[in-house]
Amino acid sequence: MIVSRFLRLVSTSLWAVILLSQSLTVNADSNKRIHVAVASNFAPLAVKLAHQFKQQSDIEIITFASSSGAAYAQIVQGAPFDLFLSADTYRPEQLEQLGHIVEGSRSTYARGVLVLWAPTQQLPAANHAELSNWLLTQSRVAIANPKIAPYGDAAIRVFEAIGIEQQIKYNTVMGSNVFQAYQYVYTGNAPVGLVGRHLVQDRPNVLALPEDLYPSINQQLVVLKRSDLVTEAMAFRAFLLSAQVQQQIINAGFARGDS
Amino acid sequence: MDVQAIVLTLKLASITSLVLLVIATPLAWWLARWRHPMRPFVNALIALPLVLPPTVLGFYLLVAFSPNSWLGATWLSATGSTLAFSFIGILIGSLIYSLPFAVQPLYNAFEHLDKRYLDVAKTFKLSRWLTFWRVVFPLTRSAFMTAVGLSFAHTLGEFGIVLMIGGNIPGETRVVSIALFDHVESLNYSAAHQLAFALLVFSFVMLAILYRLNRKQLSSWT
Repeated sequence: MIVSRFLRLVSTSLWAVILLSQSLTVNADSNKRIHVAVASNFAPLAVKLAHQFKQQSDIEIITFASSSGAAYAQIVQGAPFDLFLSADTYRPEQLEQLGHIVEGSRSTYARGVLVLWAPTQQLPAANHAELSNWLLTQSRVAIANPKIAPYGDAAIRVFEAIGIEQQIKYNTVMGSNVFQAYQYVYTGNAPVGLVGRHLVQDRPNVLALPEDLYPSINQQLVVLKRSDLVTEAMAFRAFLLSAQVQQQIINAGFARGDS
Repeated sequence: MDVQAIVLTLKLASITSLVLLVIATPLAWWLARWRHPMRPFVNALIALPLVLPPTVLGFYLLVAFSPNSWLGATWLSATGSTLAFSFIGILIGSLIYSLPFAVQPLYNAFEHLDKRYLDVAKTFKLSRWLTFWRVVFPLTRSAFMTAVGLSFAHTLGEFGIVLMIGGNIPGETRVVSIALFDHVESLNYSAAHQLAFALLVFSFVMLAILYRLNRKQLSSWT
C-alpha cells in the first residue's frame, strides 16, 4: 500500500520533470545555441565569457567542460560540438589534418603560464641552481600528467631544463589534469605544485617560472566543420580573439598569445 | 603491455577482498542480529559508496589524508610518509568503496540463517568459534564466495577514487584503470584496446566462474 503510493508519487514527479524540461527546451530554441567543448582548465572563464557574449549577440553558448583528450575523442566520433577550446595545440592540429575543422579557424586564444606554488613555504629565486636545489628538498611535487596535460608536459620540460628530471621522478605526483595538481597542493597533501597561473591568481607564495625553461603552452581553438551554425561559432571565435576579451583573459592569469 | 599496472591491480584487489572479509563478516553478523531503531541508518551508511560519486569519496579522503587533518598528521608522524599517493592510501579507498559488496551478501545470508541451527549448536555447548566454523560457515559458504568475488571484481574496476588520491605513481598507485585512462587520453588507442580487452576478458571470466559456482546465492540479491 505504502509502496504503491510511493511509486505513484515517484512516477508522477518524474513525468512532471520530463514535461518541464521539454517545455524549457522549446522556449530556449527561439535563440540560437552553439555547443562548445572546453578544456576544463579554461572552463570557469569560458562560462563567464559566454555570458558576456549572450548579452551582446543573443547567441547562447553552452559549454561542456572535459579534458582535451576526451573532447577530441568525442569530436572524432562525431559529437555535435560547434567549437572546441583545447588546452593544447596538438589536438587542434590533429583535427585540422583529419579535415574536421573550418579552414583557417585554428588559432591561439590563451597562452598558459606555469608557476610554482608553495602555500606554506619560502620560495626560491628563479634561477636554475636555486630552483633545482629547492625542488629536490621537497617531499612531493604535484604536477599534471605530462602524457595528457600540457601543463604537466611543461613541468617536465622545466625539470629537464634545470637538469633534475631523473632525481625528482620519485617525488612527483601526477594529477590527471592541472586542476588535480592544484587540488593536491590546496588540500595540503603535496607541499608544492607546478600549476597554471590562472588557477592561483591573487594568491600568495606563487613564483612564475622563467619562460625560457619550457615551450609555450598555447591553448588553441577550432571551429568544427560539421556545425550547422558556423557563422555563429565564428562570431564567438572572433569575440574570444577580440582585443577586449584577450585583455580579460590576460587579467585572469594567462599571457598574451603568440598568434 | 602494462605488466606492472596489472600486477599492482591484482595485488590491490586481493588484499582488499581479504581485508574486507575480515571486516565484513563480524559487521554483517552484528547487523543481522542487531535490533535497534538506528539499524536503517547504519545500513544506509554502509551502502553509501554504492551511490556516492567516487570523486566525492576521493575528495573527502584527500582532505582526510592531508597532513592538516588529524588522520593525515597522525599517520605522517607514525610512518614518516603521507597516506595520499601511497598503496596504503588507495587500499583504504578501495576498502571503503567495495565495503557494501562484501557486507550485503553476508548480511542477507546471516539474516536468512535458521536460528534453530544455532540453538542446536548451543545445546551441544559449542564455543562461538566452533559454531561459526562447524555450523554458520558451511551453511553460508556461497555468500562468502560471493562477497570475496564481488569485492575483488569491484576493486578491479575502481577508478575515480584512485584517480583522486593516487597521484599516478608507477608500481605504487598506477592501477590498470588509470593506465587505461592515460592511454585513451593521450590518443594511444592501440595500447588502450589491448589493456581494455584483457580487463574485459578477465572480469568476464571471473564473474562467469562466480555465477557458475553459486547460482542461487547471487540471483537472490542481484
